[in-house]
Amino acid sequence: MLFHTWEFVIFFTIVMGVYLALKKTNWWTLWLLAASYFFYGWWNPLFLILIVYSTAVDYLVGLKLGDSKYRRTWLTFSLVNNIFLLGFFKYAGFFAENLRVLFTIMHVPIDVPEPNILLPVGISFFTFQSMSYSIDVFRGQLKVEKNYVRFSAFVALFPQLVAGPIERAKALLPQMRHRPIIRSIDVSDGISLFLVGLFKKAVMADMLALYADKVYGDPGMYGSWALLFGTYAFAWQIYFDFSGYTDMARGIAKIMGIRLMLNFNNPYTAVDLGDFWKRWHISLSSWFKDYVYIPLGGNKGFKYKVYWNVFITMAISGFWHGAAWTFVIWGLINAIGRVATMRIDQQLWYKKIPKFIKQLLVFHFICVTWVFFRAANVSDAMLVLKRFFSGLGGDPEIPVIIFALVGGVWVYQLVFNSRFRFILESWPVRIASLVMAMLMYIIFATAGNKQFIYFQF
Amino acid sequence: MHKKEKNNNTTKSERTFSSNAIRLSNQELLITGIIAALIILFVIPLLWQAAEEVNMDDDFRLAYDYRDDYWVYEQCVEQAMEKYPVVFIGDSVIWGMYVDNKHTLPAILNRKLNQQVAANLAIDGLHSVAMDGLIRYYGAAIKNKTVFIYLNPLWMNSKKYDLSADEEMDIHHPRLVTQFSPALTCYKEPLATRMGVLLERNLPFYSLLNHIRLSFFDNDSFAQWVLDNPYKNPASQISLSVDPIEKEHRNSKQDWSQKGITKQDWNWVALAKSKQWTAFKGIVELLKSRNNRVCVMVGAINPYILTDKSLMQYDSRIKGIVEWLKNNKIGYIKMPELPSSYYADASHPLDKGYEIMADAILKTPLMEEYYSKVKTTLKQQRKAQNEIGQKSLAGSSGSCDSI
Repeated sequence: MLFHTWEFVIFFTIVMGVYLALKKTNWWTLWLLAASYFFYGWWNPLFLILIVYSTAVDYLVGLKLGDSKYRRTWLTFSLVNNIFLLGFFKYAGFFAENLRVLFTIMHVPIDVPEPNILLPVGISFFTFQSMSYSIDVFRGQLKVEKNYVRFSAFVALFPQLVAGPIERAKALLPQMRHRPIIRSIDVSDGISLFLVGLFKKAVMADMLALYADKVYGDPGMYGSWALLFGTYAFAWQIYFDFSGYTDMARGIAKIMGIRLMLNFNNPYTAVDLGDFWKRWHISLSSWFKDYVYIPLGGNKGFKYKVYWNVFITMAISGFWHGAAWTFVIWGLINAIGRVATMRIDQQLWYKKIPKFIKQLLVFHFICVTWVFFRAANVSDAMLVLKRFFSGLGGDPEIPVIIFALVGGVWVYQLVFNSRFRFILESWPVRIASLVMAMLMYIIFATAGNKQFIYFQF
Repeated sequence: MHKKEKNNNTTKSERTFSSNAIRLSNQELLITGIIAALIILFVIPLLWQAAEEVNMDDDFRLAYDYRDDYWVYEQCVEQAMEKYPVVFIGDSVIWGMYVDNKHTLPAILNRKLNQQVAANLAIDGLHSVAMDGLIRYYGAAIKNKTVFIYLNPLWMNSKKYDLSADEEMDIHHPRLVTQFSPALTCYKEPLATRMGVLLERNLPFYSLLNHIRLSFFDNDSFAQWVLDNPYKNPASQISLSVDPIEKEHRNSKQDWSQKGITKQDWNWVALAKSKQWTAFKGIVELLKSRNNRVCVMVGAINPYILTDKSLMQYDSRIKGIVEWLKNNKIGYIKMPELPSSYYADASHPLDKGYEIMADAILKTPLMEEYYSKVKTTLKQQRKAQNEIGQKSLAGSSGSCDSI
């Protein structure tokens, strides 16, 4: 059930009506859980078995972490269980395929069967969210949650269940321990967030997807200009798609009196790669920082150890995104780029470069990495990169209106991050912006509702 | 154990509202909603309607390519209501599938009456379930008029055409059929499509968008058109003048037997179970409730194309239809059975067939006030008609006396 469908409108209307009626009773978490399971089961009721199992294990582990002598063992059990679930459902096909190739090369006569496992929507998100609970409880940063219904509702909370933001247990669970307070400003903020997210997804992302899909559908047919613009289109598409989703998720949660974290903060205005990752998919970047990078040693230790920690964290992050070599390479390029430029912001020569040039450099580096993210396979990605520099221009046939729309948004972001932000914050501009966004949604929204890109992860 | 459980508002990302400035208070959202509603509900549709010229031909026959443009249809109806006392509603038989603009049923009537009396508000593929949607939502201006409405029994010749089948199939004019209730089991569009149709019917802005898409953007979505025409300015595509006049010359001389059409053994749907018949009865009631004088043209399909068994079933359905019309005191005329060579296919007449149909209609009391003026002239014309035509005219029956 996508947020921008009539099914969701009906679902949310019913859920919210009952939620408001129950919010002053102890039944509200049970209703929230029922709604979340219904929302998740809408994709495939079989998925519910997995989330119920994962939740039950981490709930029991949490109890054991509270009073057991074998706390480390229980934490390990929780982590292994979650990683196994993720590995089995998400990566079994990838490993089987690569084993097959390996056995063929080594002439080993073993036939590795095709697992044919259905990937449950949002598994990468709820397993990570659940793991954060076990780790936080183990670290003593969070009370053990003894209420099973509340814990289940935290894992399955429907606004952010399938594509995040990956909320930390220590941020979300405390909100669910008291009855929700829905203020007038929560409703208006929620609606504002939802409408902007709707515009980002249904107008910008879906429109850019038409061009990016066309070019990346058969990259061999296109010259360097088309591939370059196709890559730009994808860079903005994925931003609008994912940030649009999280805006809508945050808006829906806010209307229900639940606060979710900011997940994107104008990432294409970043001035270095470190800055980019502080602005892009913030909930995932900070998850990896807290639960992978810091346990590895973080910034402590000698220089090359820190580089190694960064490299490993970025590489794992890449693999988290998908079970394909393109994602592995995407993660590695980001890791290399991040390590290579780690201290760049402290270099005098870099400081002298105008901010706008730095932003362009970062954007273009990220675009190169998106080539691997978007291409169907490694050979397609290599073809695209080769064509970039081949000089075989050709007519890109990119619609001028796409340029205008993306340009408009970029200028908006630059102004938002400048001292002229007050212009955007004036009420006539805010109202006019939203009216324009709504009209464009009605005019440009494509007939079919496209799936969000990050649902596949 | 619980060293430092933090509250939820601690990190910068949690404190930050959003990465843009579009944060509106409840009052501002209300203003935004009002502005957007005014633009969508009134400003754009009314301004557009006032500015756009819809140039129609004499009898208002809408071009084939505009058959799905219900915005233009609505404008066309409004114009026709100002000029014509009589309107004809129906499917391609009335629209004139195999004839040009001068040989449709309303065009022939106007010629025979020596004045512009009848408007052709028929559309190709307009089965009764769709006709109900068309008249209900886009034909609201049809009131206080004489309405000849064509019932084409062909839409009841099988479960498929009757829309009684369970399996999904392509439907003519899906945006005009009932979206939720009464349910059509063969119509399996997703909720989004159905809700889009409801919006289009009830908010002129959506109907206008569809018109713009159909008329100026090759029936594509705006986004797809922009992709297919990267360097064209979408605004330059739009014109405030449309000419939905049928220009293609449709005047087939071939009859059905020359086309190699063989005998058909249709299994007609029982009237009591027919969705098309139920819808048709609803349309008649709707038109009457709008103070129209209604005359149902009970269509004669090509009887020569049917097997004996199928023809018997067909006759019993026609009998049932006529009985209902009589019982409900609704004017009707059974369309004359034409000579075999006057049928282009199972139901569409060729131009000579329309001449005979027109003569039958001119005999009805509803046309009396217009016809009496030219009766003398017509008598002379009748003498010149061939014998076959005379014989066929004798086959028509019914009247619109009860109106």
